[in-house]
Amino acid sequence: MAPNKDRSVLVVDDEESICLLYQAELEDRGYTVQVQNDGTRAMEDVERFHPDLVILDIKMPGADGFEILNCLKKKFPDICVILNSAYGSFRNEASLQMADGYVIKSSDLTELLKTIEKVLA
Amino acid sequence: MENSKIEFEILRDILKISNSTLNLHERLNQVVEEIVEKMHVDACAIYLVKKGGETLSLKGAVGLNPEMINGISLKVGEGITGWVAAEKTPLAVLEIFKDPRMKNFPGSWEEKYRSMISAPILFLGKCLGVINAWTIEEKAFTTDDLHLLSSIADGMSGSIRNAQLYLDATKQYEELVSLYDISKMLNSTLELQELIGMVTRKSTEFIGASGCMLHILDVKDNLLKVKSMYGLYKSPEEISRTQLRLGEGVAGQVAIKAIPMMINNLPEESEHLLPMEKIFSSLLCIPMTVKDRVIGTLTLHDKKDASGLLVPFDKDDMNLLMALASQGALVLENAWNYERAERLFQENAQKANDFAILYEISNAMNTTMNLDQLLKIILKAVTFGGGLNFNRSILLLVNEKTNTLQGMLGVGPDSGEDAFRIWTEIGSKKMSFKEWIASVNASGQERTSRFDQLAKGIRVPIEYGKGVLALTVLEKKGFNIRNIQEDPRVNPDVLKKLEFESFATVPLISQDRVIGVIVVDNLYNKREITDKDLRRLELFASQAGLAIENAKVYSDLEKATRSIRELQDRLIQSEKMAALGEMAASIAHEIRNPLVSIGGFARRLDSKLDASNPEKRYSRIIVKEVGRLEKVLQEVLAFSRSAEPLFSECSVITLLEEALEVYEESFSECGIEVIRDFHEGVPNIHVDSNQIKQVFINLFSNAQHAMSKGGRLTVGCEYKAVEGEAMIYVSDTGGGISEDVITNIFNPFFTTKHTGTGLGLAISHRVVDMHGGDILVKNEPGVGVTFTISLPARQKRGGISEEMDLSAARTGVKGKEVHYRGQGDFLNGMGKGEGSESIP
Ligand SMILES: Nc1ncnc2c1ncn2[C@@H]1O[C@H](COP(=O)(O)OP(=O)(O)OP(=O)(O)O)[C@@H](O)[C@H]1O
Ligand SMILES: [Mg+2]
Repeated sequence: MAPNKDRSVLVVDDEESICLLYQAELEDRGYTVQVQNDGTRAMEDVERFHPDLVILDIKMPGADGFEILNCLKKKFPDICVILNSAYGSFRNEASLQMADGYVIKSSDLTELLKTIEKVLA
Repeated sequence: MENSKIEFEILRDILKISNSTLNLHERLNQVVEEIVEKMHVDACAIYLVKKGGETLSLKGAVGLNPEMINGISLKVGEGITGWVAAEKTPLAVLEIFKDPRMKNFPGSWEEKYRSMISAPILFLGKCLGVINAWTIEEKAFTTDDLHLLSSIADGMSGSIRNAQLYLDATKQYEELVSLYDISKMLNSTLELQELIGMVTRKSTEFIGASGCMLHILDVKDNLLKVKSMYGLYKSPEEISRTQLRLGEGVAGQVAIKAIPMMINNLPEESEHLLPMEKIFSSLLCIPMTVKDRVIGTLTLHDKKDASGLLVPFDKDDMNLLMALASQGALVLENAWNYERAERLFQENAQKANDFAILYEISNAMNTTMNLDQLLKIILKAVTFGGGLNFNRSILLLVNEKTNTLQGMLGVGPDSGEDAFRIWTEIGSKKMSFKEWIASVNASGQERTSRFDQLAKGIRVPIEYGKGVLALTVLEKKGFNIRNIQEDPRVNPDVLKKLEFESFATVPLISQDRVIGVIVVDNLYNKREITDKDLRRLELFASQAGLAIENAKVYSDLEKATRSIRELQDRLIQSEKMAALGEMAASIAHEIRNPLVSIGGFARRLDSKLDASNPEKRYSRIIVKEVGRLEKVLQEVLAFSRSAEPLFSECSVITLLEEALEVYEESFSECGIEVIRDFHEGVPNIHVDSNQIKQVFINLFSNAQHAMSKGGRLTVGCEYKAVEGEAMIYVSDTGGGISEDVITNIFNPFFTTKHTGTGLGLAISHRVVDMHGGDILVKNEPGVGVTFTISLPARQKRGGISEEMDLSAARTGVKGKEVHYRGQGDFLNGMGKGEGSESIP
């Protein structure tokens, strides 16, 4: 568990249960985890915590994951972002390129965890 | 898309209108109303080209002054409409009053409109008329609009052409009938011979001559012929020859000079007289004229007074006789008119009859427009007693692809007895052609005669040396073969079977092309085919050729409409699929998120539970089930994106087994017995195995729902070598599907279940479609349902049967109940045949 001790992750997702799941699984692996259910307040949290990584849902009420991604990468190019979505396809391919990774939501978190390790390595 | 929908609707309506029994005028009015409504224009009008092809006249309009219908007449080339007719191209005009071609008819109301669109009505390259549509507001019509209006024009052309054809035929027919009526009237009041007799008698009595003779000039040989005599002649030769040349004798001179002659001292006069004319002492000869044309002469001989003494003719006699002669001439002229009319009628009676039949054919055509029916009508006309009156006839059409003549239809009795029966039947009922056709149609299927069958078997290459049928096409003319054995032009093989002895052929010509041949004979009554018969047949064939061409144009048009309709159907289907895609995408979000957390936490619990913990079984189930649901979801999303399937070689039976495994438990829980009917020799199929397995799973899921209280599920698989298809069937005993439900089962979101999505069959159908296969359902209400899937599968050489044995062995090893059968045919009567519903 120790290896990820100083790695901080912010999970932005409107589904509370998903936030809870990710938090539990990531903390088990030693990450420091913050969660935010309100997409509109994602940037506030980023500024406040300045995490190493943001796991970002795309479709949230009142907020668009792609916009947050844009804004975030402009202000903090060093913060990594993994897009995480229930959809299998995206209209916005160009924005997808800006992210460091992209994982379709699944109850099997293996792929997500692998991508996190790769991105933070 | 929007446009093609409108086009489809309009074309459909126009075909309906064209097929209706309304007269042309009403049909045109309906069409213009249809256009105004559907194309969103403010006015529409149809102009038709008049006979002769030089002028256009307004025939039907909405939004133009109705009083101008038939009142506006344009030369082809004049005005915008005339320009379109002359150039045979559609045209859109943004501002009509700025167009130099514009020609306004005051009072037509055209000045109300600003923009217009116009298209010619073309039939086989000829302009029959023009359709115009106007808008009050300025409107830039698009090429789509031009295309649409042209399509409408095409849709109408056949109907207009036919209407004109009928009109012409009726007119000619009516003219002949009225001529006949006049002649009949004349016939009832006048008798030529009686009239002439009256003229000679009255002349003799009035003037007091001994006798009177009437010569008529026969225009054919320019001879004066004695037509009537009255008085004391023993024989015509006594006073004259029965025939005189012009200039010969007194009558000959009177006729040539057209002036009367009066001679009172005949014996002394010698200059002009024939010897026998000198037996009289005096004569008076008067020309008979009608409109300055001499038609004959009237001659009186030997005037006597009351006591019987000879007296000379005088000036008064001449005047009186001239008056009588002119009266007589008029009467005679009338009588001749009658005679000529009668002759004309007799010549034309046959023609009139042909026209009557043609007219009826046209009428019959109007109701069918079906090529087969039309061909039948044509041959009926050829063999009908009141028609062309041949015993038997065959119609052959040219197949341009193979350059052969093909027998299409044969009409005629099979034997002499048959012939006798049919003809007495028709004779005793005195049926008209129309009634006969109607009776033939009403009696439903006519017995197909042997003659017809033989006729249909005829195939002749269109080359020289291949007999007279080919020659008829090549030389574009008919032949009258008197003796089939001796005529070198005949190819004896072709016609021998049909027992032809002598026969005639005639080409069916349309647009200068030979499209077929009619063959006729009189086997049963042995009546000789005269050249006149042949000419009548040719006349008839030229009309029939036109009719066939019309029917073909019509059927092409129908084909075009059908393809539009199919396009429409596909459109609806793809709209449904697009809707499905949208729905799927939006529910994905709602379903996937909860699945992720349920599954995620289940995994978490599972990993925390010790392997010995009995609860671990349950956490496993949650993890597995969620995994399955996520996979289905994944697949639904994949279809909605119309993903290309991922193909690989796999065994149908393996896929079926894998799918059955998923349902194994619930089947046994519900008390469902599973029977496998896997045949040998099914080659591997090239499919997306996940998708196909999903299809099987969907079918099993439905079967399980239908048999929740137990039943029997039969799953079968067989190779159809001929079609190169693997056939899979899934049959249940769940009571079947009710009538109102079955038409909907393949529609997305149609379900009768509380928890169903209604996507199972819709997706299955799409998957099978994308694999180039077919899915059919056979429903036995009260019993159960059988779904049949066919997928392309080609047997490769070698190796396959081995593979098959392996997979069969594997299922066998698992100890399942496996039924092997030989090459039996379990799909008989269940596949694509009757009782099955094919899925669009
Ligand atoms: N084997 C069957 N016996 C009787 N009815 C059937 C059978 N298969 C399908 N149906 C009828 O067809 C309908 C549509 O089937 P489909 O598989 O498309 O959706 P569903 O089964 O209702 O929903 P889902 O597949 O999502 O569970 C069903 O609701 C049912 O009424
Ligand atoms: Mg179903």
